[in-house]
Amino acid sequence: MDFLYEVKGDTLTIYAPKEIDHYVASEIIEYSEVLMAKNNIKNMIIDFEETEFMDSSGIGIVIGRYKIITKLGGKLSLRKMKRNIERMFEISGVKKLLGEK
Amino acid sequence: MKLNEYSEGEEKEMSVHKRPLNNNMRMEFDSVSENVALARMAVSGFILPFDPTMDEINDIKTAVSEAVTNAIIHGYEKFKGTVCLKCELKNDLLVVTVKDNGKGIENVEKAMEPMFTTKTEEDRAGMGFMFMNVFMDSLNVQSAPGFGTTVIMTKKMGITKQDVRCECGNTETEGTHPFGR
Repeated sequence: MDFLYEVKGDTLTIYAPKEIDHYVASEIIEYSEVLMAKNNIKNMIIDFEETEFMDSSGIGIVIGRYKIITKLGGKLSLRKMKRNIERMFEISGVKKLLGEK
Repeated sequence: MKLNEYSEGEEKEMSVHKRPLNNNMRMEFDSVSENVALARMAVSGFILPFDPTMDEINDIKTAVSEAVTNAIIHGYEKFKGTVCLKCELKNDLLVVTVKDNGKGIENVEKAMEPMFTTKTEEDRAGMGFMFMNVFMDSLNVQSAPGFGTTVIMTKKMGITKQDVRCECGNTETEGTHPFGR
């Protein structure tokens, strides 16, 4: 596994890896599903501090998690994005979807 | 005369004169998703001597990542095949070709629509072609069922150069010399 996570109450924080592509995306999705089920997770934070590169696989992760989390009545937030990562979320419309400024 | 004896302005002129640069690269690799990172590394290494900006590197890496991912997960799906990545630099024009001999695309126009994906169950956003389009200057997709897919993308290098170079507070771009006249 190439990423770190933290569970605090019903919130799961995922520390995204340096590069997010299809290869790591499937791992993140798989592990986050296991972690969510095991810990009764309602809210999710994805921390991009370490992330320097992301392609549309990252957008897929976020949209997928957003659907699951909102179904549970929770909140998904993204934080510490570098400029190029933020741009990907802007172009894809994910930023609007999450209601971020 | 050593490089550091030039004034900043002259040094900039020099880096402009270093161009044009022509180069070609061609590589083939197995269609496994670990190799998407390899393709990204190869293309960033290829453009590095051209003195690209961070934005250019990121744009090109993203576009290549999308094209190669498509070849692997859509073109070949579970089968193992070979993906060919070709990069050409002619003057300041970068041409990237990603070719697979996979199953091909039935309806290219439909496949290029944002949010369209045949793999909804896998959390694919359906934005691969959209990002290739946004980050490159041109995108051409040739495909037919059973005949594989060839994606040709071009990008003119050096267009965004100035606004990143003048980090001294001058954000003007076209036509103005960053160090004044």
